[in-house]
Amino acid sequence: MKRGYLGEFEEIVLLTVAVMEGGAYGVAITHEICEQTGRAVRLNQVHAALERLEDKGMLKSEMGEPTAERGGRRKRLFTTTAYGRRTLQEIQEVRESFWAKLLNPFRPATSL
Amino acid sequence: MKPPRFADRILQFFCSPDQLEEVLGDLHEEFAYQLRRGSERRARWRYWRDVLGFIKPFAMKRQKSDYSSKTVMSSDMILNYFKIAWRNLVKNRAYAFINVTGLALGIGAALLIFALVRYHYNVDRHHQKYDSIYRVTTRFVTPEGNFNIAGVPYELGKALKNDHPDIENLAMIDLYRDPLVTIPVANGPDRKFKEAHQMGAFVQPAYFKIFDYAWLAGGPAELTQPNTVVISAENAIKYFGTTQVINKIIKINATLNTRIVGVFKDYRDNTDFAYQIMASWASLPAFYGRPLNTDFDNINGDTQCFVSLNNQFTQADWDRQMLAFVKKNKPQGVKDTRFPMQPLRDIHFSTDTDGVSQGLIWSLFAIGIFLLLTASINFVNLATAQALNRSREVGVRKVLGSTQSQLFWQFIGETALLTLTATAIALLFFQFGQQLVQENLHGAFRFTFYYDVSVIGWLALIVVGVIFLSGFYPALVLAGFKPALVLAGRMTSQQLGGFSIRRSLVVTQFAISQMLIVGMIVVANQLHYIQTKDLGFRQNAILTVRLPQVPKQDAGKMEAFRHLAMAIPEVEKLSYSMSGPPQSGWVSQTMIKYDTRPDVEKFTPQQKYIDAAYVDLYGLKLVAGRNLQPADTSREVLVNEAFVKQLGIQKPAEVLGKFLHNGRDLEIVGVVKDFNQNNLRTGIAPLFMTTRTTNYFFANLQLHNGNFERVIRQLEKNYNQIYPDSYFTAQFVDEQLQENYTQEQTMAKLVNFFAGIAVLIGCLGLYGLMLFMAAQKTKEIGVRKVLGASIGNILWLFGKEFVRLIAVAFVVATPVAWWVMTHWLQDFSYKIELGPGIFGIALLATVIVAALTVGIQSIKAALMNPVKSLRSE
Repeated sequence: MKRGYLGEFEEIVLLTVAVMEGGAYGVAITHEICEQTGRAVRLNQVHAALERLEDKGMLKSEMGEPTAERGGRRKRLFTTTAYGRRTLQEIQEVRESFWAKLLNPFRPATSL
Repeated sequence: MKPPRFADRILQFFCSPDQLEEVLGDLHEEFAYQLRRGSERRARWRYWRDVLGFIKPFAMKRQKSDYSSKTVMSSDMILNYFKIAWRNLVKNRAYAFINVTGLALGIGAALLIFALVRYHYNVDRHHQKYDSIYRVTTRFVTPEGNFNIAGVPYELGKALKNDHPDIENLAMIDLYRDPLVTIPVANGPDRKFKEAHQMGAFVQPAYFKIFDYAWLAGGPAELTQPNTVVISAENAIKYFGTTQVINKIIKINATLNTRIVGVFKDYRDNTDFAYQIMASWASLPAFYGRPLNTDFDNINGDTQCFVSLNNQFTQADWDRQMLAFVKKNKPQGVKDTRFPMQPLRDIHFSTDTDGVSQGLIWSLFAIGIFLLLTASINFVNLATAQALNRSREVGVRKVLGSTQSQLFWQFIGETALLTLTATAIALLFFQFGQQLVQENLHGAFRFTFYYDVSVIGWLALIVVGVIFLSGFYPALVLAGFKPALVLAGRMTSQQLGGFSIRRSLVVTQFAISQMLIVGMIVVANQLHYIQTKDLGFRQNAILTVRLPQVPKQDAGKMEAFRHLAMAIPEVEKLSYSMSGPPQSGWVSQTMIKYDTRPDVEKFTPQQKYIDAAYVDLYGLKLVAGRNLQPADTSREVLVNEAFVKQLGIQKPAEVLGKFLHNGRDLEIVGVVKDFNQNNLRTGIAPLFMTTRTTNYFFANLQLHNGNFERVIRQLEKNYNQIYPDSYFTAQFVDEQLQENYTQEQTMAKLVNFFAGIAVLIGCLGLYGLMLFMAAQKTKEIGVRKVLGASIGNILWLFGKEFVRLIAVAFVVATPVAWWVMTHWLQDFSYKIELGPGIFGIALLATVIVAALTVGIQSIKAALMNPVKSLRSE
């Protein structure tokens, strides 16, 4: 089955949205990714990825509540679509099948 | 704490409206987060970085909001404008090419001209005291008008400082040309440097308080002592290979040993006072071998006085007290001598004292404006002519809701696009032109234009000016179309109100071209006239050899040189004199008393020292009396006719045997016919000539035809034998005369160059217009040909339009050109007549140029087979 292509960064963003379960919006996602991966991710990159994912139909969004910190502006809250979730699953399956075929699984390196 | 406002603005401009809320919200939240974590500065910096990260207008995918935005600057519309503009350019390649080339030529040339103008107005402006520096000059007030000399008496500085101690700084300076520098070498021959294009000077230390100099070693402090000198880094490196040359000895003009006490940084900014070797004023008596002349009558253009003033003593104070000063120090000059202060900013432009004519600069500036105007007119003409092609687009846009202002800005934007493209090309032209101008015309001056911040301002001004000049009217016409008329196809080019305006623009263009052509012809004619006019003396095959620049010539050595020179077969005659008949830049004047008249004469004649052979060698004609006796002791003098006239005497013979008094008593023995001892701009002035062996600076040699190269080589050998401490310079009189007219020649070259470009741009526009007319009339020509019109008829169809326009332009241009050129010619004592012939030639030239431009296209149109043009109907 041909599924929509996902870049590595897009995949992480999509996963983060899935993990955050309804609380996912630009800044929160950015901070979460920073914390989890330790990468210096920038807001505009996340926005661009979110936009692409929404175009591909893997995310959907709705406007949330405004806060004072945001100057009274609303958040855009993202949730994963069924298609998005299935895509993530397929990626996971593909990877697992490869891992299973690995004859000598990697051991944690003791001396490098 | 709020995030930077301006960043938000930028984002609002670039971000699509439907995303703005969430993006801004996120950014603000992030800002607050960063603020909690770290310093404000860091948070702001990150904020800017993030905002800039969002600016990717082409990469951002936009979700269409439900309603189209109403702003003029909507990004979709801008993209659409670009697309349509590009399609139009590609469709009308020829017009686009003509427009861009014309604009690029115009802008490039105008930029070049403005660079030249800027250069002239910035000379010496880098001095901190620029506005308070003055040069004290001498003015002789004569019945014929004022005669200004840059120089003052040697003693003026001292007297001025005595009488007015409030003057902030005062420095005397004495100039000399072409220094000869000798570096003594311990064992071996001295090294000699002929500084042929440099100027040397003797200065008082205060000179360096008035003008800004940067010192690499030493300084001016020791310049109070005699036999001290400061030199430029360039010269120091040339002489010694280093700038650390303090206390080294150099010998100037083989007479003066000086110790170097300072090395100053090379002149980087444009200046009129680029003296490379400046010895102390106190060295002057040693240099001249006699004490300085304390006489207030002794005035020479190279002895100058600079002051810087402050509130204590201003130029106005001086103007009030000048007369008292003259009365006290030069009582006999109360009537006719003044010492006005000339502001530094005027020095570069004072034509009396070798400055650049401001008229020249303004006429160039005018040509610059003309250039931009012509290029813009081209644009307007072509754009309005094509307006019909775009009328349907305008109609559709209007029906779909475009406002008139939106359309107006769309077309202005297109013009801006073309203009900016042209500007990029213009900068290339500028680069070439700059090199051309530098090499051919000014040589000496440096283009500091590029390093100048105001250049951006100039460029922006030109670009914006051109955009509006060329874009405004077409945009107005296009934006004003009535959609109903246009879409019904009931719009024809005749209905475009622009037609008569287009005509008048073409007339303007022709008029400008004609004025410039008249200018070119007049300048060229006038130059030819003054260069070939009979000057009243022989010019051919006379070589002048300069004698050493020493205070007193050695009569024995001169005799020896004469002997050797006359031994060369080609040398026919030899005469020694102070200067040739034409004296450039160096005029010696003196006050005289005549006969028994008690008062000093009201006019100040020029004086010249010549020997007895001079009159014959230069072919001067005697009107009365006889030539001078060869002996120095005879105290005889020749005067010219102008001198006699100034004395108020009718018959030349009446002055014979009378005496002149100017310190010496001289008997008038002859009157020579007037000849031009200056250049033809200044004309003939009263002159007397007498013998004085010690004051001869030139040997004049009349040569037979022969190998002049060989003669000069032989003379050089002889000269070096007799004057080993000097160096040989020889020049033919006719060549020297040409040098008198460098400024005019520069003007002619510049005017021709730029006027040529202006005419070329005009032609480009004409060609474009013709191209368009031919395309418009294709069918008409077809029908006419079918009905039996001859090729001549068809050609006349195009020709009559242009002939009419040229005729109108001629009527407009002639009076203006006549007025301008009459003014220019007023500077010359000898000038050509502005006859109808010149204007006739200009008219003819315009007609020919127009005919050539229009001709090919109209012939092509006339020869077209009507079958082709009518088939599609």
